[in-house]
Amino acid sequence: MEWTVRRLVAIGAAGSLALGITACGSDDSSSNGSSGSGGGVSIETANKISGPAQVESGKFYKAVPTADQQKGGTLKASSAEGFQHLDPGTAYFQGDYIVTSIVHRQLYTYDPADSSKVLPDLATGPAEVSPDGKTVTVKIRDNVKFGPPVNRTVTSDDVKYGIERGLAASVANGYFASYFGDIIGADKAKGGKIKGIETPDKTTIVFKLKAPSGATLSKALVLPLSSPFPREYAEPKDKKTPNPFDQDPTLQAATGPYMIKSYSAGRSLTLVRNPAWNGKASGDPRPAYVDQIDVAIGGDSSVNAREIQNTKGTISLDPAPSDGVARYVKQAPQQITFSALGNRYIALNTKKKPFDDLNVRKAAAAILDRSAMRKQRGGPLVGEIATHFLFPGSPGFDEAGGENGTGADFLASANGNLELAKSYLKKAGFKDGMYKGPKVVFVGDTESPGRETTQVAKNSLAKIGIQVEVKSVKHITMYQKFCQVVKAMESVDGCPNFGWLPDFVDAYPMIAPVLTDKGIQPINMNNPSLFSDPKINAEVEKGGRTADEAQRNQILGQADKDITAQVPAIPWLWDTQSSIQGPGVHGVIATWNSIWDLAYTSLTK
Amino acid sequence: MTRSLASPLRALGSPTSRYIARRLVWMVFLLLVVSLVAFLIFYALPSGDPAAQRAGKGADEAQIERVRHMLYLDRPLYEQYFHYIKQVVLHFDFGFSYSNNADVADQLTSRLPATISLALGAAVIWLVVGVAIGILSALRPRSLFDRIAMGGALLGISAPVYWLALVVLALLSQSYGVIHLIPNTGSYKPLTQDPGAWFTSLLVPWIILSLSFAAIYARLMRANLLETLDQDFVRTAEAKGLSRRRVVMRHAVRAAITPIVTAFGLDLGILLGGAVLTESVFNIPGIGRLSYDAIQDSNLPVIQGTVLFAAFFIIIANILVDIVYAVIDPRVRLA
Repeated sequence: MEWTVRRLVAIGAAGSLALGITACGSDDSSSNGSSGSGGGVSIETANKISGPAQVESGKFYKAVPTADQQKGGTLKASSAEGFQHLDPGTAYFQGDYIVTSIVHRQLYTYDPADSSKVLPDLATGPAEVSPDGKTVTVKIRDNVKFGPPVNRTVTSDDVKYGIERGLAASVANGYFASYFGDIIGADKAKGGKIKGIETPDKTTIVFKLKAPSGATLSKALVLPLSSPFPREYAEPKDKKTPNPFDQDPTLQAATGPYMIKSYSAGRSLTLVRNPAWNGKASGDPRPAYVDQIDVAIGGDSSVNAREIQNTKGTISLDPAPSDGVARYVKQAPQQITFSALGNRYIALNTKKKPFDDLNVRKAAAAILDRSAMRKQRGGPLVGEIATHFLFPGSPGFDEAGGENGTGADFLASANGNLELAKSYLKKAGFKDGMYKGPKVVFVGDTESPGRETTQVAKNSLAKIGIQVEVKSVKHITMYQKFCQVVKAMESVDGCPNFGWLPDFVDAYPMIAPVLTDKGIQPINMNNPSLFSDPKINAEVEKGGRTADEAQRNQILGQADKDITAQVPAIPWLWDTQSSIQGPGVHGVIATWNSIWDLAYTSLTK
Repeated sequence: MTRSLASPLRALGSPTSRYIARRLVWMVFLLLVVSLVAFLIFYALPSGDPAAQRAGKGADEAQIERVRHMLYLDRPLYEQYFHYIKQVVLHFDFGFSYSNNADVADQLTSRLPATISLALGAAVIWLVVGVAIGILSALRPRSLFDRIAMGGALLGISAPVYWLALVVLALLSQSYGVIHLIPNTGSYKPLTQDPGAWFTSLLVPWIILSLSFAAIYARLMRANLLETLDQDFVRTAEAKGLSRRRVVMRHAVRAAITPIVTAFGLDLGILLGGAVLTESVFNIPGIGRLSYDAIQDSNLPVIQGTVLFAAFFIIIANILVDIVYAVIDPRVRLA
């Protein structure tokens, strides 16, 4: 499953929750039929038995920290998918974050049980954002040490260098431009010093910005790029290609509770305690229960899931495969847990006929059988049917309408509403409510379950006369040769397999990169709808620049509502990720990463 | 060109030496062609953009261009290709993986022992079992043994390796089998590190991997031997008073086995390029899984490396097959 980019891969990985678990669902049976004219099953009914809801009810394992967890032992983990980049400057993948977050201390971290709570990690307190939003100041602890081979106290210059090296070609951080790009001098830097990052003393770091984006930058300091890197040790190595710290991560000087003892790409990883870590004495809230973590990489995720189910002291770092979910739900519900992940939607090209017409887009949304699409992915346990873009648990979700949706009638039915769709087509000028025009082109996946969900979308649109020609390509090709390339989108009308999850817990990174002009650039763009509404762009930017949490969520929640009303894309799933563990493990989910947090996970007797 | 190449070859002495030398020169040429084809396929067919993949989804154009430069992808295609070949030939440097920066040569060489262990062990089993069953079936055609053996062979050919492996694990896996008999997947240890664990971790994969090959070889051997036993030279040998055993083993089998040798060379060569399914299910860190992941990720350096390795083994296996031909079949002469 599923490549270098954290967001892409995690969405792709969740895609492995494909066919086979519909037996666990029940509402899908009622939403199986044709949309008919009555409007089918309501979203509210369809969403009743989602995975996270059942975790809360106690049916499945609730992966939260408790006071009785025990210290010691070796945790055996497996990962069929493996890791991509274990250098915190390069890491941009859910699986990589599992490791970088326990090897390094970022400026900030999250409470694993409540991702709305940001905890200072290397920082001593909250980031101070100046009233004009152009300066962010962070104070760091003076008693955090690098592990071997550096063995010295961390200073603010190490944090500065950790961020600066993100622009070195050999490090090439993937999200720098999105959240750190407004730092003064960043546009000209190539891994060397950035003028806008100042370190007036050894425990203070100041970010000077050319735009008032301090509120968003302060939130992005939970990302691994904010991990300190010792300049004198790392700078000479960072000039090499490929980067030695990524190729051989045992070279990294750890600041977190663990350090990498050995790593063989695609085969194994061993983490042991970092002797320089002094836990609570230096303000690290993490208990770091286990002494050692052995990760076996490779194999088949289904076989791994089977073995873990009966093997004491083991845990899976992969999302559970579809057959695994079905079996755990039935046989070991207290060894599986579900957490919210992100969203999925069908992007419609708003710059091209016929989807340049708002009413045609509304008709397409109204007729889409989202319940059938979800069924192709695995039914209710893989997530809730979406009614807008922010997903449950995301800041701004409630403000956008929460579970009930934004009130848009074209998204009210789980399995489509033919009469409503026809009425919108009539408004678009099609007298009998049936589309008459050339075929539209969707670029879909050759891989399951994207292939099947595209077919459902095609069948749905055919009901109102929109004939879809599906161009099926590999998942990665779909993104990089078509849906992320402006020029290629001139001949594409829709991308049915798009999805997104936030880089950090906030509404801004869920919206700005994908549904505003920020997401449009000639290549590597993330807005395949090419949707750019000046009013909404300004609204989202305003939200991104608002430091007050409640106000920020209000603005961005409203922006979500406004975007949904314009239907640049049809949201159809709020993704859920399932995680599994063996007996004898007290796993704790990092809700911000939707996967296990190994610094809180312990073994049980 | 021909003359300049032919002269040093003539100096090699015996026709066999010259033949081998000539084939080795061809091997180099073929490997170059294979590498060029793999390179062109990667660029000709729609795939991912390695620079964009490596840079990440949030990366701006400037960052992508920096990565493109770092990966040598901003040069003309011919320059990229010659740079790659130069690095491979002069430094045994296959580049590094776009997806995790791992050194490709290290990846290949560190995974080769596992792949060789798996392929050779399975090859021994399928050759011994397949040929023996084929001979016995041919000697007793339409007997109960023959019918059972050929029926079993049909099953062996029909059962996909992946399915068979999962069934065996479901029955015998230490952690979830009906009988807890075989170690968990991922228990492979190199021969030099722990011979016992090496053997126990590979025994079941060997058997499963060899089953379909053994079935094919048994049927092939049976058909060839039946045809050979009808030949005049066999009847002549029997008329001369040679024992049945001697006629079969010395004359008939020797003549019937040449197609098996051809198939064996190719099959073994292909498996040395990686047994994707078996390696994946049993989590054996070999080249097959590496190549599969690389194809999924459009990871050109790893694809190139694994393709070259696989081509190398297939070509070497073919040379060996031709040499063995000359040894076992008096009608064949190397020249």
